[in-house]
Amino acid sequence: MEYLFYNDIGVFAFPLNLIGGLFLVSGIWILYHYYPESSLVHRLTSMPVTLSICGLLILFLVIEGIWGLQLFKTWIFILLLLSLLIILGLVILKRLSFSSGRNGLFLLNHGGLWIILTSALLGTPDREEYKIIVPLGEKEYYAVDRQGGLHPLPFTIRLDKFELEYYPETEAHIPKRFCSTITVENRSQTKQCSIEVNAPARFEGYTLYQDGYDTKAGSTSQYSILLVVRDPWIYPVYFGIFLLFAGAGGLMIYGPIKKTNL
Amino acid sequence: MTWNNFIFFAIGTLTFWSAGCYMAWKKKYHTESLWIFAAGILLLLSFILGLGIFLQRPPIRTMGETRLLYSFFTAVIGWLIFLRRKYAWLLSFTATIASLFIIINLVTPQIHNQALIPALQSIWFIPHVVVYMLSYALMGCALIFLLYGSIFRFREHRLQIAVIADNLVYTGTALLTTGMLLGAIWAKQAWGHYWTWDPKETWAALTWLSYICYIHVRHHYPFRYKSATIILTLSFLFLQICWYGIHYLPAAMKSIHTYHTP
Repeated sequence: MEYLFYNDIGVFAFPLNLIGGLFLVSGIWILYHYYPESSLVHRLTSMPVTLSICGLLILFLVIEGIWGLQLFKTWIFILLLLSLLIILGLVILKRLSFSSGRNGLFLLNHGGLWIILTSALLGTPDREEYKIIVPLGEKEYYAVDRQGGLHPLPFTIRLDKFELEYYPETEAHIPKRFCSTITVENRSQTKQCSIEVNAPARFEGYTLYQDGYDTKAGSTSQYSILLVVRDPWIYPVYFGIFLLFAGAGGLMIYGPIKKTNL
Repeated sequence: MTWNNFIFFAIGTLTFWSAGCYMAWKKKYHTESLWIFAAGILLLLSFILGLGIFLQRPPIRTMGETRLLYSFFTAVIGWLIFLRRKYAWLLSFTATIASLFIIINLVTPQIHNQALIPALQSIWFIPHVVVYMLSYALMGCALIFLLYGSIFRFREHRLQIAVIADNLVYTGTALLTTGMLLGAIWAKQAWGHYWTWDPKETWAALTWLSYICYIHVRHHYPFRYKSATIILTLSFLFLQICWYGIHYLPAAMKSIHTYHTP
């Protein structure tokens, strides 16, 4: 069953993913503009096809949702997603005009979704995520990537202080707050910052998150576990999210089209 | 205000709601029924606020607390629709659903856990949960509407009923979208990624897709009431699984979203 899963999406790192993306967009564009009346375009932009691809995706996600097999790492999923992007792309091109508010709303919702999904898909190979255990008082720069391989970071991290507060009067030792004060350093700059959950720090294009600590030692933990992430394609994703937010707002205000001729 | 006091509020609220529903059926008491029903809602609201003050955190974390929100929102929506459209049957139906979740809270043990783990200490926590619970309530009301319309098959009212259901679903879907996007932004802040295929996220995505299918079917095949009802029912089933059903699925072992209480 392993052959169903792709092993290294990193192979599509920049600039291959961008080129692939441009191929995808131009392919959709050419298909639509040179063959707008073709039965292929008609069929792909039809409601039965839309409902079919959504239905397939729902079925796929139900299986994943029940068993949690990480099916999103299969080629099948990539294929489903690409099909959706092609269909959605054609549907958007078909209505690419700002003639009415309704159409604008359609574009916000469908366009926002398309941008999010495409950016997420293309951005995955460029996403770097590392886990690093930083001991108290020492400079560390070797981190571990998601496949378990060792990876040196382009800067060092030193844990200056680790603080942990528990909720009082609980035997269960529920943490109230934990925070790492660190010094990040590379050849050109040094920066001290504190990191906690929901309050990450930024350094040279990387974002550092508080991930964990020595749970047995608790507040006397001698190290902090940080997550170091670089996700350049997050910006188009945020843009898509913004569009979809606006589209959702419009949906709430305007609701369904009032059919007056039934 | 603790869960120990809940029985008194529950009895009060259910009494007011029963009286309100009874009077709703007698058309000349429309205004009185609105006032009495509203009193029940306000009583429930005061319990929710009181509980929050006692716990020193928003009461939106445990399963029991989300049931409170669901009851509150469902009752409010039913009241609003009754205010505008005077459908006494809808007031009764929504009151029944809201009461059901209150009764579930009465018969299942509730814990008072003041602790809010650091991961939940975020500005996104309240909007994310509240938007979702409001959406869930809207979707529940929409289903009641459509099921009633299809079971009783009052042909001359069918269109009206479908239109109201559509309005509820459009608003509900807009909120579902908003909730998902808020969750994604929060996840990026907390864990470094906007989508981690957590079972809750997977089910949320497929629930969203399912309601999107309903919207597309209603838009393109406006007279296929049976199909619409089936899709809406299935969507609501997915919604229930997403809300609390995931707890019982094999994939749940890997989720960070499992509630810490019964």
